[in-house]
Amino acid sequence: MAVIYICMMCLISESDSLYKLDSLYYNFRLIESDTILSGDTTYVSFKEQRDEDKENLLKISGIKDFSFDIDQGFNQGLKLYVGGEVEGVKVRGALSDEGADLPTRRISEVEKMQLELWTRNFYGGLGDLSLNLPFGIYNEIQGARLGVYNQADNVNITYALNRGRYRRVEFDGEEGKQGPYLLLCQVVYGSERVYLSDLVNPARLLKIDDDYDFDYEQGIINFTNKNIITRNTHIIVEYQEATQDYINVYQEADAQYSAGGFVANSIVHRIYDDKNNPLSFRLTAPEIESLKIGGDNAEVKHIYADTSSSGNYDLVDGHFVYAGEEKGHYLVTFFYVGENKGDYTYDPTIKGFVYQGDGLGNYTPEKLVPLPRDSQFYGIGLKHKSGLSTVVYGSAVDKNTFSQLNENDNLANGYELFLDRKIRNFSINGKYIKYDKDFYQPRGREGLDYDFEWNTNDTLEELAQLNTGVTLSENFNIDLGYGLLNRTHRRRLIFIRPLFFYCGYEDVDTVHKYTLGFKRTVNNLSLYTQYLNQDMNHFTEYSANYRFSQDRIIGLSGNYERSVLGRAILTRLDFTTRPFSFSAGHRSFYDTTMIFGNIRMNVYYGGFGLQGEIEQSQRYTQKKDEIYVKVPEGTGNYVYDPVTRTYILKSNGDYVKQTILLKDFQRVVSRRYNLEPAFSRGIVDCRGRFFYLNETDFISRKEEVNVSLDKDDKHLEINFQDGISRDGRYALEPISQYQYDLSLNPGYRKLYNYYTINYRNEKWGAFLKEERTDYGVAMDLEVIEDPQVKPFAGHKYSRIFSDFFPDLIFILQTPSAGLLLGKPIKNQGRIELTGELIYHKYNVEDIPYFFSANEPPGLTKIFTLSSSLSMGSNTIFSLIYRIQLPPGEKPVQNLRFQTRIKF
Amino acid sequence: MFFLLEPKTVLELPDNFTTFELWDKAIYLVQFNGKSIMRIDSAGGVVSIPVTFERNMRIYNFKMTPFSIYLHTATGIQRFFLNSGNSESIYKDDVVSFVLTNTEDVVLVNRLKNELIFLDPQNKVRLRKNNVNAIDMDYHDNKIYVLTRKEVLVIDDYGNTIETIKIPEKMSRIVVSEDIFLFSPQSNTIYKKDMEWKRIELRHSIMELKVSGKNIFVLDQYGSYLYMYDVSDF
Repeated sequence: MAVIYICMMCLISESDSLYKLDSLYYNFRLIESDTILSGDTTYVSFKEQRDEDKENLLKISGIKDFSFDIDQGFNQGLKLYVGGEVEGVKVRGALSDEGADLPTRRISEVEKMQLELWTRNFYGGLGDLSLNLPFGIYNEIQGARLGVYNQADNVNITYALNRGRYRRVEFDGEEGKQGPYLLLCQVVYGSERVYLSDLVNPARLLKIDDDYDFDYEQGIINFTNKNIITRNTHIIVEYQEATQDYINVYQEADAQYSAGGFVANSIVHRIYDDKNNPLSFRLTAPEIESLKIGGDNAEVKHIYADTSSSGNYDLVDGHFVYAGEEKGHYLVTFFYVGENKGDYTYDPTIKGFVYQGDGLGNYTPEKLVPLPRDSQFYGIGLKHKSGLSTVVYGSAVDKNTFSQLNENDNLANGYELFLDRKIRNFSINGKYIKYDKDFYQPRGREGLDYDFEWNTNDTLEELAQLNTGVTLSENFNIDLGYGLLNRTHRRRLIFIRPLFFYCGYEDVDTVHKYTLGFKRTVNNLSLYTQYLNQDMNHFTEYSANYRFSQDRIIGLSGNYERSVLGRAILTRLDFTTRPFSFSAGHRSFYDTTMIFGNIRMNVYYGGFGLQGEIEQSQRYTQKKDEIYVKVPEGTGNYVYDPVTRTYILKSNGDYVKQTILLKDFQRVVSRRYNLEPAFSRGIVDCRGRFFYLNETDFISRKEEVNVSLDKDDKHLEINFQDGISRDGRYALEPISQYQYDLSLNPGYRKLYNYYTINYRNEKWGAFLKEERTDYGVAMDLEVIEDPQVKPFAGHKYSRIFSDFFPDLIFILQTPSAGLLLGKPIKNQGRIELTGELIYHKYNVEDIPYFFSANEPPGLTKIFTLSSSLSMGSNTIFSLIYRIQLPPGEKPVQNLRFQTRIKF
Repeated sequence: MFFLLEPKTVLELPDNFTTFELWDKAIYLVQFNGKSIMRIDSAGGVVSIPVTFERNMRIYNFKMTPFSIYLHTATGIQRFFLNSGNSESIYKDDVVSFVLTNTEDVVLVNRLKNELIFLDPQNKVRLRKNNVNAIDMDYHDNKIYVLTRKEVLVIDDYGNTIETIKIPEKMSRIVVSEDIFLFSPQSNTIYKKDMEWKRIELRHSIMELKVSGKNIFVLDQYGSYLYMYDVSDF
């Protein structure tokens, strides 16, 4: 298999890369998979990448574009690509100044860059780096790394802006809740590692998408049906919490040297907050003074409120009181901090926050000012080929770099001793770990199986553990173990493994565990079972799989539990036969039952095809509401209508919408499907898309059908789409929307017709916010091909109704006509001039702003000049000028001027 | 003419996939559930790149660039940034297919309006060309190849039709390298344009086809095997 992979990859042409270059660093950790053939790091082994045989050639290419937009001003962009080898130096890189603006990741004005250089003994890299460092440290950074190496010996230094801070959280699953599990912070993309363990299985690394999905922006995990979460499930999440408080500087150096059977490793690792550069707040002088005298435990609160004449809160008795839209003196930002962790709650009836008292709410406008930290970590390790190794650590942590107080408790130490040796049929492995209480390390302090093995949440300070194994024959071995944690917890174990059976006894303090099980594969049949007795609580797990052929497998698995709390059972059946896969099961505990299932299909037969997925699962949903927050004029996408007291979607508005989470949770059954059938035969092509999601109080459904008929010069296309959503998670009343769109596009040679019917309505409870039906017709005819002359005309009839104006039915007539003149210059450019007249006529004189915000009555004239010309072989010049003359309003002009230079 | 080909190599994939791209000496495949893209590198290392949190989203097609992935989904075209995990909507409507030009501008076909739309670097509409009944499209050598039910329209970067090529029968996918390849996902027939259209039969049905230098990579009907052929055999 490995040979096939390597062979195939070598045969992928470099020309497949859009820029004929590579992106060097892979931001994603490797996930355990059968197809992994080598490597345990996402950091590419740079020594293997230099191509000795490559001829000397360096290529530089790129695109530079300049643009001017009358609304957005002058803008420029650059994409640069470099690759090749000159005089033994291999270079590869890419640079772009486009991308999502992230304040924590800016290096000068360039946000995206990747560059790497190799020589025979040197490597340099610049850009987003995922580093797997000595002593199990994993970092996501943006910066530079330089390395000198000779065989396995190397010295590396790294300087960067840190993208995130290492975090590990552990929590127990909730019975019947596949998600959401909240981390309540923004997580660096791709940095998470999620593990599950339970009563009988140690921590197991999960695969994203297959086992869980992750919302990095919100820090939310949802588990798929592949792993049913129960009260026995222990969830461990390691991740990098996105740096949001201060610019965080990263410095690191590591080295490895080997000689005489010894391998020595060392690392110096420092991350510190740049206290003078807070990212999401601004410190006042009194706050800085308080931080200086507060020492490492300083608690200074920052209130996120600004005085404003268009605010919506007043300050009364030290608390903010909602005064109404633009009727208060403060603009206040509230943060969701979790249930009973805040002092305000959201009141959907007034659309504002109400003070409840400390610990009685879930929102707060104030946060403790994050203390700027300086964390240093040192490590030196020595390993001998005999299996003996030792590591000595040191750390220095200043929890508040503003303050000179409490400096004498910053230093801490730790050390580890390991032994791993096998002599004939006797094996021994042991470890001794000692950490000071304040010892810091940029990784998890405890091992992943700490909770599984020791059944405690105590912080690890001292651990001694010795395990031995004796293999008496090929089919019989014995394992013995003894451990001591913090000199207070004791763990003993013995396991005997005759043939394919195993049984064992383990005690941790007063907890006694008896285990019995076997694992066996005979031809196409795999069997496994394990029984655990823990203080008279019984737990049994089993699985049986039979493989009929390579792509046809059936399996039955599950577990049974009996304890003082009652009985629980989990059963699942999996069956795969191409082109279907099926999985279903149930989990019962007390009076709760969860039924889950998944079907996937990928069918083609004759001209018919069907792809899709059907799923039933169980999760929690949270009540919510929406508020509209005022932003500077023209930067929002909503406007406020004081008549209806609603917010109307309109570009260049002055409000943005935010979703507020409320306290109420509800366990719901989640059902969904997406099915995409298609049919093609002769002159007919049909395709459909059907999406459905039902979570008890949230239903979303969408259907799309497209039929095309094509014969000679005649063409007919029919599209139908409809969508329904009913969202009962809103605080006051459910919001439901329904819409359908039907279009008919007949065409004959150069004559083109377009008929449409569009219907949509939105209801808040029983209140009809808006109902609108549009009937439209449009046609154009290409009279002359070159130069292109194409007149076009259309008409739209709209019927509009709203419970805001119950006595009125609005009729809007919108005739339109225009002419397109185009001059194609083949492979050189094109010039187009379009003139369009649109007339909006309502059946009443005074049109509420609610309706006319986007469609003012009267004649609107629009002229557009669009040209693209090549100047030479590498430069493209584009000019787009559009002037819109709405009735009774000032003209809206837009000028866009772009030049793109390829080099 | 009629040919029946044997592959040079066959690779069993670790999951079922719906489409793929060859880029940066690696294979990027869309997983069957359509929510993530799997990268298989030259060492056989497998990395899953999650690109959405929406449970019913499916990826129909995608294009790689050094820092981002352009995704074609039921809601339009999105640009997903590989480093931050953020995404932005490039175009919201039902899209038949899209291509990236060599200046990384998006050109797409709107399904409901049958429009060929050229977007500028700020993702605003630069040019519309209507009455384009496209089924699929591809981009090669500064030209956009739009497959319709009867012909292939060759269109330059400025929206001018510079050539019309009749096709032997209705097909639903087009791939252009030095040659033009036509196929349909449920069949095992490929047409290749030399001086004339050449019909090629494979021993297996096709889900997706990509050309890389002198090799043709074909994803089988169920998305579980990747076949590699020599382009000179075609």
